[in-house]
Amino acid sequence: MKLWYLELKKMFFTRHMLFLILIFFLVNGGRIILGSRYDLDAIMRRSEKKAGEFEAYEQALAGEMTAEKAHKVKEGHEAYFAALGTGEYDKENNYYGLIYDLYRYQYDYARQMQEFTNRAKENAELFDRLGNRFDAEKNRQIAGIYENRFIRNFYDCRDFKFLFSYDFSTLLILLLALAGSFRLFYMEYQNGTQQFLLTSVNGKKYIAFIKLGAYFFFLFVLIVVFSLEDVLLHAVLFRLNGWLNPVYSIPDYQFCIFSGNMLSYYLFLWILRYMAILSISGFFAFVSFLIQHYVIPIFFNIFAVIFTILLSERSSFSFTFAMLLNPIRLMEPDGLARSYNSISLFGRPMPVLYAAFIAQIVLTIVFAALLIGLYRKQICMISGKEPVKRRKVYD
Amino acid sequence: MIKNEWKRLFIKNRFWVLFLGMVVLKFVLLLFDTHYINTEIEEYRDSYLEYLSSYTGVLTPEKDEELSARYSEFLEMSGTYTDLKKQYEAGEITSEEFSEKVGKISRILNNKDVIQLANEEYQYVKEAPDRRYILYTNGWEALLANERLDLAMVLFILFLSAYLFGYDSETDTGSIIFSTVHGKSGLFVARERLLIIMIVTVNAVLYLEEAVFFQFQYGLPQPASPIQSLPSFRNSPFHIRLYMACILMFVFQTLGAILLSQMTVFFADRCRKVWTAGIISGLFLFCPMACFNTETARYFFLPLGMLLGSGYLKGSCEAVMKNGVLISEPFTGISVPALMILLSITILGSGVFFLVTFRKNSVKGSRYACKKNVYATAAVITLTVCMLGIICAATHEETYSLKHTYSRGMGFSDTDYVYVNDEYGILQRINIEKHDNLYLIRDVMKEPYADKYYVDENYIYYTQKDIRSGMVSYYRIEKNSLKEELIFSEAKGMRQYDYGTKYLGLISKINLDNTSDSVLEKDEITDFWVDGKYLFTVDKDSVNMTDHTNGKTTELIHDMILTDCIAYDSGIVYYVNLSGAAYAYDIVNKQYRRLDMERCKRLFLCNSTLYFINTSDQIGKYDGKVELYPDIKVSDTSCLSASKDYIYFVDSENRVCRINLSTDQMEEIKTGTPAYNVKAFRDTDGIFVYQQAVPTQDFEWVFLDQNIF
Repeated sequence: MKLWYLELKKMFFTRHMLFLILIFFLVNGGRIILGSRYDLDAIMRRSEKKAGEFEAYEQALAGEMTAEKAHKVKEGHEAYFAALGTGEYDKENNYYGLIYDLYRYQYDYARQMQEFTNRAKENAELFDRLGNRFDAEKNRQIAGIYENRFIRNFYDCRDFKFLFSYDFSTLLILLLALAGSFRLFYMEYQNGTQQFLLTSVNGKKYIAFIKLGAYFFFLFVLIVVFSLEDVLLHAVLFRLNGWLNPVYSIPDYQFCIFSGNMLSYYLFLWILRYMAILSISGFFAFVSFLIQHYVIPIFFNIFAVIFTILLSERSSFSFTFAMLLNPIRLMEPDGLARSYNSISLFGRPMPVLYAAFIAQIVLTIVFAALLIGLYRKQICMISGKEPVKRRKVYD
Repeated sequence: MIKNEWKRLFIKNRFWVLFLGMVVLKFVLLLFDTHYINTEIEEYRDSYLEYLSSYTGVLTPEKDEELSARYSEFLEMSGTYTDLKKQYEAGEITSEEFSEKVGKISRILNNKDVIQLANEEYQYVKEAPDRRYILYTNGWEALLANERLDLAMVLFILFLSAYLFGYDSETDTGSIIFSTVHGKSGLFVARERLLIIMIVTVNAVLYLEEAVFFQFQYGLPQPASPIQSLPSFRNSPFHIRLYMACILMFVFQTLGAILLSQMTVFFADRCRKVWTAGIISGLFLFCPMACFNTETARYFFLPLGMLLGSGYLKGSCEAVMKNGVLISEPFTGISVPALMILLSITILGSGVFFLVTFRKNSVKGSRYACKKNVYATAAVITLTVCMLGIICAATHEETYSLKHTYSRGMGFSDTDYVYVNDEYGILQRINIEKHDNLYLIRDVMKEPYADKYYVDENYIYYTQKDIRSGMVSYYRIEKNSLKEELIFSEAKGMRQYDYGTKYLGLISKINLDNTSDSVLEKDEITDFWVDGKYLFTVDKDSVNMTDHTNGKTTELIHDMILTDCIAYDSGIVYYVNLSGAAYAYDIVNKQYRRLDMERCKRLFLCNSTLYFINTSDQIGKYDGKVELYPDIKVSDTSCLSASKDYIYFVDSENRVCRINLSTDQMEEIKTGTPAYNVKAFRDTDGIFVYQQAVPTQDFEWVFLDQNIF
């Protein structure tokens, strides 16, 4: 434990690294604030809330949905449209006019989903009859995911989508992970402490394990810090309400494959992002060990990240095995979780999100195992050591 | 010296254990690997073999006659059985009579699956009896056609090569060995010879193991049959026997293994690490394997292509589906010149790697070696040859396999009528016999709307356009199982595309809202059809051909094409341009031909004959020369539509008429109310007529069955 703490302290909690984290923390904050000022949707949502003219009606409507409330919203909505031609303005009716679609969506959600799952079940039966086992299974999965969903309480949760779809902090964590990987092995060579580690009684395998553990924990700390910043700033900027409402209360998340509430969905997204970050960081660590050089691994890793980002944006790689192995896709988990997409694994459908998650776990284990194995044998391509010069042999 | 090295490796360093391990690994891999064979044949294997036992080999006229007669007899009995069943159900015969009559034919009917399978094999051989023999193919298919990288052999070669040439450097004993009497060129050459001998031996042992495995599992009968007897090799450009194909595969794999070993030796010499050299060489195999989904691309990467081997003998073939199951994947064949280039590169590459390593590791080598700049020149020349070879091989002339036809208003096959519901835009299918109407787009996560559709024997293709992004997606639905898949998508005329966030939040929003309407209209697809792996799309001023497996698009025709004036028949596109002139474009030979026809406003293809409606609303036939049907005037709203024997249309007096294709006589069909358009079925006499329905007074498509004729 002490060794692990020392590794953590030695490699990451240094002046340079803390300074870098601070800068990135400020950049992230700036990005959230500026983003909310330049994004058209966000500007409109914020200006509505900032005026605060509907706050009282919003509070009155919030909470359990009843037939009376629904009736009231419907009447208000009709009155609002009737008044549009006359130019009369009633604040309450105006609010109902604006909120009508959302209220109707949340009120009708259970019935709509029931119809939807019934359709999926019918499809499953049809495909069973036609002998198409894959699609039958897929439709059964869909029915299983979306069955028995309902929304009990009404909240205007639409602003949560700004929080859920915000990915910039992941990019910053990725850059910090890159900077951290550089300190894993090369610094040891540069400072001449590698020899001490190699001759340690704990053994090379243990040292590699501790280094990797410290590195992954460092990333965990970064994720906690940045996710808290994201959530706090978004909560302040958009005055987020309804944390305990199901995530499908947001119309854009009608078919979200996760059924929990907003809070658990946010944690779920970060777990997925953490897995993707671990996998790509495992690769960073592996490359940093294999090429123990000042610049080359950084360039190599940056190139690898850019390549994977570009690859993840290619539509032709959508929902293929190549996509599952691409950690960048899992770093944007919100897009994958919003609707059900499946991939064929051994002839059976599997939600893409879960398949990608498992693929990233496997990749992380592979990179960690490779790194530990190579560290034990001290097999690297370019090391910080003086290269052994070839002897010239004369006949 | 070889003997000493052999002893050191196999006895002292216990490589024999590794070798045995690899033999066991190979066996385990063979046990658990999926072999793409005809599983139906395996299901009825004994009966199938028994049925075919007297017909195997060349398809002689006697065998042809006998097989044909047996199948006809089977069909006759099936018909008899159906008749008897109908009679029994109608109460015309008693159960005793039914049992007595059915009893005689039940033995044959019980064997119907075997007879069907045998008939398929017979039909396959009959297509080219001089190049195909009747044969039980599963064993040979498993041995030759299954593309698999021999993992056991690759691992063994990687480790052996890296260990043999990298271990001394890694442990710093190289200098001691180098200073001995034979430690210079002698030792290097001896190790190289040992390596080559080991590669050939190991490859032979593992290949033999594979052959023995498949011999026991499926059997490898008649090795003297031509390679085209196997369905996977039906288009093979090589006229060789099956045993010869095995030998060629062995040669390819051995050459690939030698190149791989020489690469590993080179890297081991440079890195001076056994594992690093092994991993780097391994990357040359596993990266292309992982990166390329299409089989063909892998064969252009050496040494991977050589180690896989079988694709070089295959020739082009399309995907073969049976009852919704993929029997064989599509494959673009590698031409013989391309194969020759790849073989040359393999041999040349092995030589260059050997020479470079030899020069560095032996005094003899450096003495005989040329000066450095000569080596550099040789390396540059070799690389250039390699690159040119790969480019030539990759851009070899494409072999087309085009056989479908397309024409607007083409009759629908079988008893299914596919259409897009005019009111809702939903893709539906009506089965005339079962009287059921089915929604075809069953994916609940997707809208059921379709823009355009095209139907062939096995699939229903349709397009969907996302208005926001301008993305046009082409899907296909398998007719029997309704299994749907996306085959291709492309961005056509982006208007406003809200990306949300892109590149991990680096770009938050892009709006492309300055696209003009004319650009959007120009990109709108007016027609499309699919032939094999090629997707043909027609927009306002061009016809494009896209290989939907890799997205490669070629513009075939650049001309303004009139609506309803395009037809396609087995690689030839017929069209009429804006000035009314008709052309035929041959895709394979890339040649235009002006058709000597008068100006027309509709074009239609039926039984490889072009029919047209001219600007005077007269129907004409073009079969090298123009023939007009002078007494007929076609309605403005009508298209031409054809069944097997007739062409249907609506005349200027809104009557549905048809022309008998064999007699050229016109007949009128009574429809009650005036008709405005007509659609026919290819194989049945039923037609759809667009007319005003009596009770609702709405215009709709009404089905008229064969009784009206």
